[in-house]
Amino acid sequence: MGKICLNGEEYGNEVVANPQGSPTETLSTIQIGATVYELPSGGDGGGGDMNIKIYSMVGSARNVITENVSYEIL
Amino acid sequence: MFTKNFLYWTSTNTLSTSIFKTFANTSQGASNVGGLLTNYNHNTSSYYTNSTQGSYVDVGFGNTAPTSDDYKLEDSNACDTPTLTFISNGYPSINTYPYVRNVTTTYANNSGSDVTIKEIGLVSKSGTANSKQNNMLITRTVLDTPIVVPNGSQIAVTVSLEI
Repeated sequence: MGKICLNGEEYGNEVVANPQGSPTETLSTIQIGATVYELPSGGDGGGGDMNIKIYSMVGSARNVITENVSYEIL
Repeated sequence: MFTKNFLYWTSTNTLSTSIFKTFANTSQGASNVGGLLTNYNHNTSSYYTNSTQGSYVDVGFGNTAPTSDDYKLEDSNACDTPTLTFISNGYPSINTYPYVRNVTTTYANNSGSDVTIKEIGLVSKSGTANSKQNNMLITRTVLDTPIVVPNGSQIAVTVSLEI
């Protein structure tokens, strides 16, 4: 989808929007490893009252269930 | 590999439905394939009896790669090719941390020749071990290295589930 662009400057790595999103909606997906930015809202001469926050979800807690097989010849 | 039966087994909202796959590839409710997870019981003699609840380790002779849809061992000693003789079933042992559940079943090879085990499965049951309608496969492992049980020997096979 391109890079984050603020005042004509590109920042960070490529980001990907969720399929149902649009350029004016929340970007809910970001490539793993991308830099996380929190951009200020509004701004002089900016494009209105924008409040852009990008969060990177890089993992989740996990329990692992394992199955092991062993044997003994008697 | 854990089968889909295992996930259904841990899901309380499916325990009363006919969703578990038996050895016969038919659907049964939990009461017909080993009972509730939270009310689990074990009988050392359950292999040959119609115990309402119990478990054992099945061994087999097939080597088709396992899938989560497996509902029995490919060539089950209990149901398909009874080659090894059931000797005993151990009580599950459970540690508090890590949480481990062990089930050990012992077989004897009195067949007159060496026997090669290629697959192993943990089974929950409510009927005899050779009843296809009352046995539910929970795990299936195809061995990277088959086990040769010499004629006249016994083998104790353990399946451990650990969290």
